[in-house]
Amino acid sequence: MTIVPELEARKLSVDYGAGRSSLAALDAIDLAVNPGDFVAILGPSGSGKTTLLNVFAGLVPPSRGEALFRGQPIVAPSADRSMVFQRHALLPWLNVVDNVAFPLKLRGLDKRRRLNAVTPLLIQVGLSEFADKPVWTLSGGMQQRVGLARALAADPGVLLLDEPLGALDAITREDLQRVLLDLWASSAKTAVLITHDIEEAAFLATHLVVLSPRPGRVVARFKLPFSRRVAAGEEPRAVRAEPDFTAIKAELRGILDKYAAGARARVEA
Amino acid sequence: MTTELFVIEHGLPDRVAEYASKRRVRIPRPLLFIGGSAVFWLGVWWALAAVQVVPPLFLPTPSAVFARALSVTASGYADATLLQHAGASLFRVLSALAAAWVVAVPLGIGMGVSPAIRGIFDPVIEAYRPVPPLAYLPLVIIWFGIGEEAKILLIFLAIVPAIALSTAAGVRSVPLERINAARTLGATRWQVLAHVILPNALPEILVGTRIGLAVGWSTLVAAELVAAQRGLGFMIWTASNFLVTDIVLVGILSIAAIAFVMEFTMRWLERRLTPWKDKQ
Repeated sequence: MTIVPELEARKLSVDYGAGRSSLAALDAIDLAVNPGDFVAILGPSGSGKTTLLNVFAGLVPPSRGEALFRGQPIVAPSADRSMVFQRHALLPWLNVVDNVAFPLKLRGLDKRRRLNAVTPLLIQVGLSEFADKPVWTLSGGMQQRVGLARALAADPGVLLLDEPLGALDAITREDLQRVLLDLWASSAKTAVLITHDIEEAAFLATHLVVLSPRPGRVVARFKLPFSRRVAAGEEPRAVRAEPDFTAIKAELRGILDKYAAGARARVEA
Repeated sequence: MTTELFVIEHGLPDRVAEYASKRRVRIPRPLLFIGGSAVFWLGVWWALAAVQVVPPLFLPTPSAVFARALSVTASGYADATLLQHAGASLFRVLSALAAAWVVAVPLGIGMGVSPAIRGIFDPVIEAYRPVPPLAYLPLVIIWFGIGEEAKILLIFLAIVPAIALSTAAGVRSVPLERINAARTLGATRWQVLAHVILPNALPEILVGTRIGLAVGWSTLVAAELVAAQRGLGFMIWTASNFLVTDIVLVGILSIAAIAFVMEFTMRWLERRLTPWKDKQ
């Protein structure tokens, strides 16, 4: 019996614009995301990684090739693939609970059932004390916790994470990486994370894909053990300090530096 | 914002402590400025009237105007008391505002969402918006007569662009991430409109309403020029025909006072309803 991937890209290409001024964002991407995977997509800016996530979300149509969710072509956004953004995605006029319960409101659940459903999530992301606070009064890290909890409240098959921790300071970021990992492990969901942070990608991903600068092509694939080990109870700080972890980071750094050097050479030429 | 000094409990020299304790009365700073400004200009007015730079017929003293205001409140002028005049004017402006809301908010949402709707209405609104209502008042009279509807229509026409254009701007200012996030959480087009776009545009709709109220209120005098029996604008025009300067001043000050109260009420409403504005 073969496993049907949660998400799949087959020779997926995306061009922006048409005719002579068209710009190739993604070129012939092949990628399969299996149930329970945590896939990180790492790439320099302009590598089309956000475009890839938007195609999986159903927000951008493929120009050529296919994007599939559980074997079916993706044609429109759906709560099966809920997305977390870096910022501006919460509803600032609602408080924390109502933001988290928003996907359930869209489904027409009454207030009591909404509250019952999201209470465990609020506790899990550490927001239960802030339940009735308006979200605009929260710090950036707290707001991202709301965003994560809200995406999970939609009970999606796949979590699409568009640099959700990109605007946070280093310490808050590490905190939230831990929160994200716990949520992923305890919910057994599939996750796809876009990031340009090497450490974050290496720490969280079970599978890591590196994209080249525009047009984005897959240039490297890694299978990584670290997130599963942390989820199984190992100490994150110890894992981060391991030689294996450091070696992977150095290798990824080498790949990205090559492209950065290429970009510099083009600018100087 | 309040004016206060920080107070150190111990170790202050006596005179400083005394000074600090004296300044514990809190007066909101804006009120201080407004009060100070009012006192200053009343003083200037009173001085000018007292030395009779111009005859009292043209510039009565503040106390004479105040006395007149009391008598107009009690016994009326031009067949109505001050409150009745103010009530008639307020009724016209508020009905025009209500009608403008019903038309301009949906129109503005349409203009913000659909380029086609924007293409059809934007040029028309932008073309007539800068024309002073006094200029198209004759046309309104030719088409709609001199009744109450024509007056309300004139004020309505002055208010609509302000609300429609700010609503459209508010709709267009919604961050794309907010809309896309809602769509990936399962929102339909209508749900995006109702739960994301509309609440997001509320601050701009309120700003448009505040501007519209100011524009409408200033159109009022023009609307009440023709065949009105009541209203602050009508009262001013009647009094001016008979050179009753103190009533003219009472009317102008009443219009200013009401506009001031409306402006502050709207600002209070904005802070109350959309405290998240500019804090995202």
